[in-house]
Amino acid sequence: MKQFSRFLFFLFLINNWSSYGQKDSIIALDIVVLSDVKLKNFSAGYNVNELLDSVIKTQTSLTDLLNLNTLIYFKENGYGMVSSPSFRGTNASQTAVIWNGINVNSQLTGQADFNNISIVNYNNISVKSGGSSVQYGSGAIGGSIHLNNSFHFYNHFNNELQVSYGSFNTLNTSYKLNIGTEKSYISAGVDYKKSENDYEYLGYAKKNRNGAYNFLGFNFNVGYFVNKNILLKLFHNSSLNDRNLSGTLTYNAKDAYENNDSKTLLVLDFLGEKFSSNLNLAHIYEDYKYFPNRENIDQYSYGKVTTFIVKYDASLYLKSHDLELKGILEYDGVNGTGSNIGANQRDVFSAVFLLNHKLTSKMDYNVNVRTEVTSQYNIPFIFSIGSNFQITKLYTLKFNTSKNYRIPTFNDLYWVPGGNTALKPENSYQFEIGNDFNFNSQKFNLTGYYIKSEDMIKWLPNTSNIWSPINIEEVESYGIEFQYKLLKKIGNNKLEFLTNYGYTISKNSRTNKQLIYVPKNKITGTVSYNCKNFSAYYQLLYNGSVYTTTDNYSNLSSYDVSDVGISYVVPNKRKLTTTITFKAQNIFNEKYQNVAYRPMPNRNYKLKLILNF
Amino acid sequence: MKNSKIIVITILFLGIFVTSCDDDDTIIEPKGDYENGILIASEGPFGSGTGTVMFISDDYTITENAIFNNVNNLDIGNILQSIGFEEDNAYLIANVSNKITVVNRYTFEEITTITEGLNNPRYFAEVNGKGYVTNWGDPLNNDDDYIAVLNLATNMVESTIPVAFGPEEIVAVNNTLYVAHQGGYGQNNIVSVISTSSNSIIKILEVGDVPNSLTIDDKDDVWVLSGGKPSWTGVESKGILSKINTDTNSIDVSFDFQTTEHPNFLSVDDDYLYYNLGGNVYKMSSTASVLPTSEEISGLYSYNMVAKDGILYATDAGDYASNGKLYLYDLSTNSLINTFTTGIIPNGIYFN
Repeated sequence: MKQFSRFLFFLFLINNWSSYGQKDSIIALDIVVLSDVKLKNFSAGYNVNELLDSVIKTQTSLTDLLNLNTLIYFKENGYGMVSSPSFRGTNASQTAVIWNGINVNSQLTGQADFNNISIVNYNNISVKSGGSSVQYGSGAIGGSIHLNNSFHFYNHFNNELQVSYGSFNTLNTSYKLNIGTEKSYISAGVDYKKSENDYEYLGYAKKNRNGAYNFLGFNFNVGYFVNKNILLKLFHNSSLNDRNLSGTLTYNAKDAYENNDSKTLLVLDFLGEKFSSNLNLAHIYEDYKYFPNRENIDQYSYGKVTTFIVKYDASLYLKSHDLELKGILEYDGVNGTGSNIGANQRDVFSAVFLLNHKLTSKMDYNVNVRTEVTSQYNIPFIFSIGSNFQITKLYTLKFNTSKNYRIPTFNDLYWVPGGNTALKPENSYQFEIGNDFNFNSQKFNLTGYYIKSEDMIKWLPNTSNIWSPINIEEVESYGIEFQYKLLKKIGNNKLEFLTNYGYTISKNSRTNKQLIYVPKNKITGTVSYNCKNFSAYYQLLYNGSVYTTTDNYSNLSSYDVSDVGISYVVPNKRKLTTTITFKAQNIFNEKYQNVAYRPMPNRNYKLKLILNF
Repeated sequence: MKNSKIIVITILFLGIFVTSCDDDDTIIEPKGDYENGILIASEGPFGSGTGTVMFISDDYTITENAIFNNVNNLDIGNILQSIGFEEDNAYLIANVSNKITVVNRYTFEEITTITEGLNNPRYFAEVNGKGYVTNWGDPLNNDDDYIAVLNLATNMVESTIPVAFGPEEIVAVNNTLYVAHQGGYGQNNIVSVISTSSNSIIKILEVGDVPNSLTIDDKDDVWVLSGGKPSWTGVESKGILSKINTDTNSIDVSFDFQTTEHPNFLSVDDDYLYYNLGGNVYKMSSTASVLPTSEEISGLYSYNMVAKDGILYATDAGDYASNGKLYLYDLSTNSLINTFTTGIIPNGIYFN
């Protein structure tokens, strides 16, 4: 064990990166956990919130998890349907989803569908606010969501089986196996969920008639120390998602949508105390089929994209100066075909340089730069600079500024009709100041940010009345984010309170109107109580009113939704631990929509059994 | 008590007096709040929401948005494609919602809603108590397009007439229907001529590619404007204006545009044809032998356009995600005389 931990310690960062990192779940020293190191080491000046496993476990979808625990607004075309985020007032393609360090936003739409991502297999989900295109490429403008599989090199053999059943005939099942030794680690998981999802449209005497979904996911990760300097890691995640698409209050839908996704990443780590490097090979595949009439499965439109990534990453760590330098060279080859995009290829070469320096024990900073060359256009120079100053023991001041970008998607470039190959990338500048106050049991964070996005791509009819994307919009977003966390322990009683409040202005610079589907106010709050084997929580989500038309003439009213859950761990019987949880969502039967004319579910219940053995 | 009696008597007396006075030229009761005005049908936003109808009185003093929604406290449905009229009724065709809402055209009170027998309904024409509604069927299927025959007494679809793909605008001359096959999501180039006595196709006329508008002139002949295939198809083709002689059901005359010219929005007013080409409005005598070379109005990129009684009504959908505009031009001076804010994506212009 020891021989490995010596080589790993600089990969394993000591929590200086996050305001509310994993200090609460300190990992025992004899357990070596590897995770996305870049996220932790090169994020000085940023807020990175890690969602704990216990929080992840209460939810079944990434949309719900983030909606209830962060300030991101979600537009769902009905519960479980295509879901897109607005992070700090930016649009859906300006939030990047990063899977084990790789940007997996769709090459077709530029966005991630947050209801097409299963969370059960990730043991670490982090939310980084603010732009980080330097590290994570296109679309990391409002922020990025990091889905990570960590590796646990110690002797263990664990199984976890979860089964839950709830309202609207909703079944969630998953099985996970983890096996580890000091040299190797394997985790494998399969999860399946399905639902009739035929909830009532409260107050309308209608039901969500075409909302059924069906999801099957696989997850497989292997880590193996070839010798003390070479670590081989393999990550794989794939899913099949088959959904009918919910209608609206004015439309009885009969269409359906199928997604297949597969992501495989092979990493070869060369570990050294001073110099380390790694080689990444990734293969990402995505496809969709859209059926206008689900009863007629011969008629559909489709798109599919294969991405192949080769990335080499070298780091130099100068312990005497507490300085880490990293250089990354990356090639992405993207091949897309589809009913409306023909067959096209894009090659992207990028070079990244990252510097992290701990100047004093109280101050560290990052300087990160990136340049990118593609077959269509160049991203000449992207940067981010960030710093943390620990001013007193209680107070840390953080700031960062960055330039970020989003490249046009395959749909933007090649869609027939209208695709515009002359599009430029969108770009954005931003600035952020954060304040962390850290008392013993209480933590506050207050952050202000400003984002200016230019050359934003918008689809509009051209003079021949064909919809075509152009670089036209200019948007200014600014706001304040407040987070408060309280953790109190009295004997066996543990009380936790976490709340977020966000005030967001995001305006079209030309019209000076607030963007549609960006609430000015959002609040989330969770109170949880734990005593020995028993725990309970209450969760609140408040979304302020959002405009639904660009002239701010129509809006959706604000709403608050409350959920409660209780959980009981049946006392250990040898190696078997049984956890029973019960959850009630929307307990006050709030009538609400986050997209106009698409009502969300009424009160509903879920009973879950978790077996660990 | 006494006072009110006096008032009642006075009113009755005055009533009798007034009625007797007017006996000679019979009082015309208003048929509803929305008589004598313009109706603007807006499709509503993509993906969700509802279409709306706006009323503008003939003297422009009264305007009201979303009249159906106001009167009935209901939504019309998604993508209000068009409105058909017959006697006192209006037929509001919601394309995505697959329904036709029948209302009194003057009060806009809902009479009934037709949902059975429709699949992507588009436009309406009436002959002898029957409504004929073009339907695209499933979007990716070119073989399931049809005309739904609506019994206007029962408001039920009583039969269907299968037609070639992409039936769009439809007009009736006596007992004959003329259906322009614009081509749905693709392109087609025909006009189906349908006899309503047999409900069968009696002739298929080849016109230009993408026939996008139909209109009937004073001599009861049908004019068809075809936009031509757009350049993105890779087989760009010219627009063509064709005149169908409704006595012989043959094309009497046709006018070719340039290959890169794609005209749209044909209407007829006082023996003149009006259409829009690349944001310019052209006017042409129905007896002219060549296409006009100079425009009447320029820079008018409308979403739809109709000329009527010396006024050009043109709608503008703006960014398609907010309320649109209606522009009125005086066709004697070609100057803008009025502007109104409409609902989202204003498409239909009708006169009540």
